Amino acid sequence: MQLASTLNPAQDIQPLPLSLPIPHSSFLTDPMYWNSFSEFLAMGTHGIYVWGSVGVMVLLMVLEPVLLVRGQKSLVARLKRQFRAEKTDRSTQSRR
Amino acid sequence: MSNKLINWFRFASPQAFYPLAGRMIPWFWALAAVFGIAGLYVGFLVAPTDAQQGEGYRIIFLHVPASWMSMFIYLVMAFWAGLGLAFNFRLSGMMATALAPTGALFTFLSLWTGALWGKPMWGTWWVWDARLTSELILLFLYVGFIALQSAIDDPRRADKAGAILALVGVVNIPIIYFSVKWWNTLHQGSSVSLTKSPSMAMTMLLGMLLCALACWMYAIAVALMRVRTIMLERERHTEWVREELGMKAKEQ
Amino acid sequence: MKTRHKRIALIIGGLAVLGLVVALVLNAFQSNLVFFFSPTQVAAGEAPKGKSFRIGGLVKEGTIKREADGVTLRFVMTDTEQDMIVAYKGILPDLFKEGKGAVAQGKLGEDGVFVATEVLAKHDENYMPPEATKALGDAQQRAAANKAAVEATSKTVKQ
Repeated sequence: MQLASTLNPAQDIQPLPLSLPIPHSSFLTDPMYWNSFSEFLAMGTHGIYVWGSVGVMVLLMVLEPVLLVRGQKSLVARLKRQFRAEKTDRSTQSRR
Repeated sequence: MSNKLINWFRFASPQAFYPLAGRMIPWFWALAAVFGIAGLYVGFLVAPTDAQQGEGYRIIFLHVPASWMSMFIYLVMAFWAGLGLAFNFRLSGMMATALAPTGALFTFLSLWTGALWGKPMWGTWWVWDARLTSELILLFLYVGFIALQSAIDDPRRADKAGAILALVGVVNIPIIYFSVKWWNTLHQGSSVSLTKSPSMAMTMLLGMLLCALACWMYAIAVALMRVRTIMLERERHTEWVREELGMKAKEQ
Repeated sequence: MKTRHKRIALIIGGLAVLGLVVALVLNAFQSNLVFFFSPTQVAAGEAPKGKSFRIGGLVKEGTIKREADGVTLRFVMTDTEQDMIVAYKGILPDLFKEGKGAVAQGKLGEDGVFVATEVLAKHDENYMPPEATKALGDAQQRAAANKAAVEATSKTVKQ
């Protein structure tokens, strides 16, 4: 407990005074942070870690709804086939 | 008052909820896209670098929303499961079942992005500290819930068994959340909480909150999609499913 | 009937595996609830003796030194009350810096030097651009200077 606070020296100065010159920005008017695209890709020295996170997260969050749409479609098709089969079943039975 | 109650129950029945959910899904997708693009724009293109961690800190825009969702979806899932156990609503068991895979997905993403963040910053992919271990237990809880439900054929019994597991597992959520306060952990404390002002620069905080909102909308959209499939599957013997598929059986 | 027996066996088997996994994880959880000891706790004899454990603290400013062999690193970890000398050979994380938090795993030698096999960095939960950090530091310095000035004047007033 005590150690946690000694480990985080910045905690001693909390709560942050609101008059701090932390940029209170409007993100629409803020300029872009990067000077070039290659700089953006490099992410300092952490490119693989950042893009490895982004890549997997985006991939899975695209994959999940795609699989769901496919599952729903195949279920609907299956049920329709089944209902149609039942209907023809019934009509042939009634004809006899 | 009583009128409202009746309306609410009307939507709680699968045949009323199915088309309603179908109409809501595109809106949640639109909101998810808007918040997601805005959040990634602010987080990855506008936000300044971090004094301690350099550019690698940008993983926070994915890691924190994923972690929040992993815990929050579990609470919602347990709530629905408990409601089903107590009142036997048909819808609640389906909702719990529909939420579990998305919760497991976010838990996995939380661990994945956390590992990729931990390696450059802490110097390790993984440590067995209280925060990381309890989040891993959360993943096991989700997987256990899904496995248990799929092992039982009768949906009602599957719902009951799953609900008990989900409710017992709720104990893990406060353990995850407060682990960084209760014990010595390698993981740092919360940057954003209800009890203190956030210890983040405004632009960074904005980006993170937008990404979190996007994940919320995504989770709702996906859960609604899945619950619709579950409804059709479970209620395939009922008349409303036939009507919904435009195959009304003509009674003579 | 047969498929049902199979299914029950499957469920029991699954639950057994799940239970085993949870037991193993909980074991890891319990032995790591105290993820690290502070130098004060070690000095008080709370850390396990003769066994590997972790110490956590701040890397004392100006103490990181390379030994004569050119590979071993020596630095002082502190919790501001007690200090502890750590010797380490290996790769350091990016965030390992003087004045910042770190966690080292290893054994305490007879000579009181902690021989680490792994050193991890522990950072805090504050995220801000470098300019803001600098401004914050300046503000703290000013505040400290003001406080000192106020104390000094109050002393002179008293006299």
